Amino acid sequence: MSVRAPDAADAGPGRHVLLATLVGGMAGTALRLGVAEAVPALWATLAVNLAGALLLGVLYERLREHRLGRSGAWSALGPGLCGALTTFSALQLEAVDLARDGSWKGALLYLAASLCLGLPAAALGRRLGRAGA
Amino acid sequence: MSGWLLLAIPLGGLGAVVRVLATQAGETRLPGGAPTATGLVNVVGAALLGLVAGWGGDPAVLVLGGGLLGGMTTFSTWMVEADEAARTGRTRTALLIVALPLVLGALAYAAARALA
Repeated sequence: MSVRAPDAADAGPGRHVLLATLVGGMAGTALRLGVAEAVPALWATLAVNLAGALLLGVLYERLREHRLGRSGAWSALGPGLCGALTTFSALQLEAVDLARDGSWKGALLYLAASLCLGLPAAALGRRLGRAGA
Repeated sequence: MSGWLLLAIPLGGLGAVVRVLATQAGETRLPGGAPTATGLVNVVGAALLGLVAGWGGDPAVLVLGGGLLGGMTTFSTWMVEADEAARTGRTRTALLIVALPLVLGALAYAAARALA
């Protein structure tokens, strides 16, 4: 080939990808804040994080072609909805604030529970996604 | 629903857009690719939340913390990226993907909070 085709990765995400991410991200944020209003802090974060890891695992497999093609549907549901439904910053705030208040054991337990349940949740989601594909 | 909540929701969407742009930029440019970018976004988000929690009052923590930074940082992608590394036999990479942001994120949040 004499002319090099423009590389899609170099061009950055298209406008439809960013718009889909914005819409999905707003939905995920609204859900997360809604759960936070209804459930005590640590439990709310744990619940949305585990649910989001499970759902993203399913979508990662079910929307495989969409994901590889960076479609709007994947952007809205994956990085948008699941990405924004779950949170890393609040997890750290809650863990470190527990430690700052003297409850080191509580902080470690909270982080350990998040990871020891979060990783299997993602793996289970992927298995479910593959089974249903 | 409070007015602050209505401001937090679009900012959460914007945070997700920032994360996607950062991931896409980092995918080809950072060692380790997308998981490195996700980890960086998460650690930076934790540091910024430390500043917000130290400086701001309740509305700032809700709007910037719960909205912008909550949407920007992610737990689900972190877990799926670690699972992907583990499943493809890269156990050491999977451990790094889990442990580095965990430790650096806590330190970044605590340091920023102390600074503020």
